[in-house]
Amino acid sequence: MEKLIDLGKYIEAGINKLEENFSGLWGAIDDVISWTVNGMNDVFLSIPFYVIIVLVALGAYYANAGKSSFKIEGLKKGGGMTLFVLLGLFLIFAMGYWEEAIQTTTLVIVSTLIALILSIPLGILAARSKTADVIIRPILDLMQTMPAFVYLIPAIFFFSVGNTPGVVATVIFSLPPAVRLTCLGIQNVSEDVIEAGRAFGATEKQILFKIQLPLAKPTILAGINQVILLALSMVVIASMVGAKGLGSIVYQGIQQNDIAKGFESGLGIVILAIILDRITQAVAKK
Amino acid sequence: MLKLRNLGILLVSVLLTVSVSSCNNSGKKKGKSENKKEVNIFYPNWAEGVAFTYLAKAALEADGFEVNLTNLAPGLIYGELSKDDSKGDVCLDAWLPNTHKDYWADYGDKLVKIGEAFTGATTGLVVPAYVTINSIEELNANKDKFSSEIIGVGGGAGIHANTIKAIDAYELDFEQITSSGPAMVASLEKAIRDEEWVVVTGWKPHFKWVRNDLKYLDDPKGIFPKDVLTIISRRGFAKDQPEAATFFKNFSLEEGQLYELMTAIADNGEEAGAAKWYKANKVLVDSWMK
Repeated sequence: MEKLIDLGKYIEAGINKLEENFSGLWGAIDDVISWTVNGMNDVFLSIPFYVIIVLVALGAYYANAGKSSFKIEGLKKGGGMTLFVLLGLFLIFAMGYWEEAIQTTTLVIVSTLIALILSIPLGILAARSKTADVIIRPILDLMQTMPAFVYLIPAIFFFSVGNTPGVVATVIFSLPPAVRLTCLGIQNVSEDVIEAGRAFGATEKQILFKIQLPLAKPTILAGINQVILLALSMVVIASMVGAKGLGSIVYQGIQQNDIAKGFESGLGIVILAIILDRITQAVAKK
Repeated sequence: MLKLRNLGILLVSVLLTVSVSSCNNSGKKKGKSENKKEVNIFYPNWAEGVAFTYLAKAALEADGFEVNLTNLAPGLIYGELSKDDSKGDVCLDAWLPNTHKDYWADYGDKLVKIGEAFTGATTGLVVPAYVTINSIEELNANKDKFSSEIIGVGGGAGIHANTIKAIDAYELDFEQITSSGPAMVASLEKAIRDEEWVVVTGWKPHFKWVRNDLKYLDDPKGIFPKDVLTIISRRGFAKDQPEAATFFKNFSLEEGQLYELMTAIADNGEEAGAAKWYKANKVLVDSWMK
């Protein structure tokens, strides 16, 4: 059928303009993300694998057991997860995917940090301003429902191949739940509590930082947890534009029809996901 | 609230440590391959491309190069190599002048052909030898036996576009199923095990010809062309890395050698298989450096 509107052409032209006019900015973003990702990888890979495994296991134990860390009940609360971390991470190492697992973790950490730096202020803004909410909401809908593969095209156009377009696509895809849940958490703080605060002469700033944010904390942390898991689910897609890590092994497995490779690396991603999920959830509960 | 603030402080300090520690290797990224002995190879996930690429990696690393491989769809490879600040240097598996004609038309003026990895590559529709038809023109009459399907490879491949042209030109009542090189081989070999009729988009060189008894269907209209597997690089690569450029200029495999290499890779994995074949043929491969 003849096209009535050539919408794609306008979008393409717009993206071309963006690329030409801000090429310095894209280069700078690319540099910062590449440095961060490479630097983090170098740091993690310079630490012996068993040290990292033990540190993560201790972290998982402390996150779950908390104050009862040195008592018997602490063992009950945190023992299972600690054992899982030890066995799971050792399995990744034993399968020969340690370096890739580190690269994947780095990608997830960097994308999550960028997503949170952007999303929490946006969530607060949306909760406190009706206008902002009306503008932000449809943008979030677009970010969440547009098939994630589509982000790869402009990402690779701006940032060329490598980790950066993967991180950028991951940030776009994983950011919305943190905005939504931050906004929701603040909106759900009951009007009475805020009224009470006002009655005692609290300023707007005090209401936000001393009442709304603390009460919304569990919801915000649930949002952070979602961002991490969505970021992990993007690693395979990101590998199609040259991002390194377990995702690229999965991608090779698919392309080579290699069941063994696909399952081993896929399992590695699952192990990382469970560890990151349980640790962040345990932190959120406290 | 305190916890949130602590978390914030933690995040910021992690970021700071990381950016400080990453400054140490920040020079590495932008410098690309101008000063260091470093080669960045892009490759599509086709059996012969994997074989060339891993052989080049084994040989260049033995010569002290740092070699980085990135697996990308063919369109991305051409697009990226053509950029002025390309992150890649070379690709050993460009099907020129025909199968990748469209890519070359788009990007060719910004690329350099620096070598020929394999001459005499062919593409076409491939069936097992027991299939009794011999020409693409006979496909329609037997479409039920083939379930009206041609098993194709990735949507970005030139052979995919040529198959669409063939479906048009021969007015085939067939649909091309998009998969990948290995998935195509898997469906081919599954059909052979079950002694069913199957037609796939195939090419030479490929290890499937060693493992199975296959034939091309005749192509009287000449839709499927012959090609040279060309080694292409970004502009300026030969100037930045003359030694590596010489290697790629001389890089060339015969059909028999390539099949041996592919078999080694199929049996031992990419890295180990290529290293094994390189060891056995060290004199030949090292002579390409001069």
